[in-house]
Amino acid sequence: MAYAFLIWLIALKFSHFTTVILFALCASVVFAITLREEPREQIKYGAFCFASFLGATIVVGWIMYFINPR
Amino acid sequence: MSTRTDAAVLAAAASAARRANLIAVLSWLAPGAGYFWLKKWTRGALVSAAIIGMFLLGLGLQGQIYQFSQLGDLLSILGWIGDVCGGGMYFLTQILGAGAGNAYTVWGNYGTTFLISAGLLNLLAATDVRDIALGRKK
Repeated sequence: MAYAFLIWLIALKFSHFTTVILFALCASVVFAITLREEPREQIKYGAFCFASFLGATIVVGWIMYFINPR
Repeated sequence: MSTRTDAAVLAAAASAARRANLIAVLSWLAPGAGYFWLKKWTRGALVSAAIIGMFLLGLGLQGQIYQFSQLGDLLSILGWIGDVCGGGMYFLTQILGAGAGNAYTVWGNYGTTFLISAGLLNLLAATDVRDIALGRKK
């Protein structure tokens, strides 16, 4: 029941970009915690990873648009 | 005297390594549990929320869990390795029969990526826990 609700919720609400944001958020949290030691460094590195994920997504998205703009 | 001291140091190092390996395996089976064992409460909560959340999103997006019996090409083998890195989450979905996947939608492919990534992040967290337990990292 809960699983069916989760599928319904995601299918209804999530855009491609929202999916990327969620992926970037989860991955950045784990990268920051595992690859840096001090809390301040972890926050900075997590923010850097998150911004990099999103920046790369936007750049690649525009490249794909110019390759095939339909 | 020196030999006895050396033996004691080696025994202590071996014991510490065994403990670190045990915590790493625990962390692999239950994401974030190793941090809780080491009393790193905030890190444990964040890592478990991120990894379990990513895995559940993968299932919700109808991602596919690779089965050992279905392994064929190199990509499916690599995908299966990534899924197994999920540890307890992988075994639980196998027991519950979830993760059949839907390869006919783009969301299903996204979900499969989420599931594999969650497994790989879980492996990263387990190795980090082992480093902390060995004193290589704070």
